[in-house]
Amino acid sequence: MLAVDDLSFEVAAGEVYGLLGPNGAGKTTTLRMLLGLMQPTSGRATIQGYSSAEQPDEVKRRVGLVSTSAGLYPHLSVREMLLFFADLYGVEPAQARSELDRLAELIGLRELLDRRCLTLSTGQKQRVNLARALIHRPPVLLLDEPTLGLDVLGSQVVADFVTHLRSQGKAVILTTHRLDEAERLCDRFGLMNKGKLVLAGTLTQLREMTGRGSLVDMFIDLVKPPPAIQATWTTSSPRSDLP
Amino acid sequence: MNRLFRLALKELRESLRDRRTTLTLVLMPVLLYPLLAIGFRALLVVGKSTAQGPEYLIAFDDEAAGKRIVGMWNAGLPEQAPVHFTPPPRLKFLSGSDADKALEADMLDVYIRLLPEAEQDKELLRFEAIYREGSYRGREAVRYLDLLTRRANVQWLARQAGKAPPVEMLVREREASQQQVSAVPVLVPLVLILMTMTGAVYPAIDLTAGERERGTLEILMAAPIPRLYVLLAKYIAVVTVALLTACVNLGTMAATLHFTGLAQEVFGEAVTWWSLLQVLALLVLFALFFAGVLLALTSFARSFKEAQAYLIPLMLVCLFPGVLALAPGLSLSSFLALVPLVNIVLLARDVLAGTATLLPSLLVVSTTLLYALIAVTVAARIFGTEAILGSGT
Repeated sequence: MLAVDDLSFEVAAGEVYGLLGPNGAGKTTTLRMLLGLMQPTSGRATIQGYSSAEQPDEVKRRVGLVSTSAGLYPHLSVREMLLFFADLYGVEPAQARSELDRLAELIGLRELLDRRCLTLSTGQKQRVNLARALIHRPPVLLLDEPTLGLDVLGSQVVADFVTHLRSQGKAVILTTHRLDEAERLCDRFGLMNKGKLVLAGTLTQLREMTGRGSLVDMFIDLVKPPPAIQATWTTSSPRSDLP
Repeated sequence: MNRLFRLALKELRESLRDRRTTLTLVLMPVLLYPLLAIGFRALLVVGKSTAQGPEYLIAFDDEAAGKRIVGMWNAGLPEQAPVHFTPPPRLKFLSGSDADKALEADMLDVYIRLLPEAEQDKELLRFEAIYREGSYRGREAVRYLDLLTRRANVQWLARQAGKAPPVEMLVREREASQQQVSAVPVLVPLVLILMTMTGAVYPAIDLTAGERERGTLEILMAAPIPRLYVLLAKYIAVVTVALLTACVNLGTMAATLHFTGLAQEVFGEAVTWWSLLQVLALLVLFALFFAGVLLALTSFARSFKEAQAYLIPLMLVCLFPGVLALAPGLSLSSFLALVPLVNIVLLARDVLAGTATLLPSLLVVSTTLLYALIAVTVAARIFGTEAILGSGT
C-alpha cells in the first residue's frame, strides 16, 4: 500500500505548518518518516540539515512529538515522567529540573507534578504531553492531532502553546481535523489526500487557487466522493397517443 | 551503561507500583505453599498406606472367641509375613447393634460374629464375617481374613498329620537396582518454576504490548535512544520481577517445608541452605531464558489482550515438558539436558535431592543461556519496529 507519494514541503523556524487531510491521507505516516520511525522507500527528509533516514538520533534530538495517541506512564508521577524523558534526550539533571520548573509554570502543571499520571484528566494528560515534548528544548515540534478528544478549555491550552512555540522561533508541523483551529493557528497549509499533497500555500494563496473562502470548503471539495447515481433528465411533451 | 540502568529502574518502578504485580509477587506464594503442603501431606499419607498395606478395623462380638480366632490366624502366618499383611488389623470388640451402626457409618470394615451354639461343632469354631454391601475395604478385608483362615487350617491339618504343608509361598520385596524417583520431589521445583513464570508474565506484557496500547511506545521510540537499549531495560526489569517472585516463592516454600516437616519426607533429608541457593541460581537461569521468550512474544502483540492470547498457548507448551518431568524414574540424560524447562526441573530436583552431577548440570546451564540469548535477539528484532508501531496514517 502506498501511504505517502510525491510529497514535498519545507517549514521555516518560527512557522506553523498545518498538514491537513481526511483520515488515511498519510499525515501520521509523514510525521513518522520525518522522525525516522519509518523509512520511506524513496526520497529524504531533513531536519536542521540532518537526514531522518541516516541520522535518526540527531533528528530525534531536535524534535518534540505530541502524538494523537501519546499516553503517559500510569504509575509514574508527572515529575518522574518528565525527568525520565529529559534523561532519554540526554538533558543534564540540573538543567532538566530547571526546565521542568519553567514548563510547570508555563503550562500550569505546578499542582500536578507529584501526582501519578493515572489520576490525571484527559486535559491534564495532554498538558503533561506538551511539557514532555518540550523538556529537551527542541527547535522542531510535531503535533499530531493535539486537540483530539479535548474540550474547549483543553484546546485553548494547546492553541496558546502553539502560539508560544511560534514566538519562541520553533518550527511546528501541526496535523488536525479542526480546520477552524488550523486557520487560526497555522501560517501555511498543506492539504493531503490519498498520500499526495494536493494543495499547499498560505490561506490567501489557497483561496486564490481554489476560489473557496474557507479551509472547510476546500476540504470538502477535496474529499467529496463522486455521486453514487448520476442521471441526466430531458424534458419531453406528453405523448399524444396515450389514452 | 548508566542510562541503561536508569531505564531499567524506571521500568521496574512502573512494574512494582502496579498492584497486579505485587499480587502475584507476594499474595500468591503466601497462599499457595501452605495449601500445597496440605496436599503433599495427604499424598504422602496415601502413598505410605499403599506401600504398607491397608490397616483393617475388625470387631468381634465375643472377646474370648475373638482372641482365640486371632491366635489361630497368627499361628497360620509364616515367620516372614507377606508385605501386604502388615500392619496387622486393628481389633475391636463390639456388641451386635453397635457393630451394625459402625458398619453402616463406615467406621468398621468387618464384624465377626460367632454362629449360635447349635451350629457349632465340637472341634470346629464357626463364625461369620460381615461387611457392608458395596464397601471395597470391607470386601478386601474379608478376602484377607479368608486367606488367614485357610492358612490356619492348612497349618493345623499339617500338624495333625505330623507333616509340613506340601507348598508354601513366601513373599519378599527385592530392592530396585535403579533408584526409583518419586514424582513428588519433582513437583516442588516445577511449582517454583511455574510461579516464576507467572511473576514474569504480567510485567512482560505491560512493558511491551501494554506500552503500545497506552501510546507510550511511540514517544519512547521517538527519543534518541537505541531500540536495543529500551528492550534490554525491559528485559532487566522482567528478569528482576521474575527473580523477586522466585525469591519470595523459594522463601515461602522453604519455610513451609521446614515448619511442616515435609522436607524430610519429600526429599529424604532436610533441605540445606546450599541446595536452596543452587535452586535459586537455577531459577535465575530460568528467568533469564523465560523473560527473553516472553518479550519476543509480547513485543509482537499490539495490545494487552493480544499478548495474553499469545501467552496462553506458550504456558500450555511450557506445562507439557514440566509435566513430562514428573514421570517417575526420569533421569537427567544428555538429551533431556537440552530440552528447555524439563532440563531445569530435573536439575532442580537432583539439586534438592543432593544427587546432581557436574556434566549434565553444565549442559543445562550452557544450553539455557544459549536459548536466552536467542530469545532476546528475536525480541530485539521485533520490538518497536515499524510494523509494531504503526497503525495511523
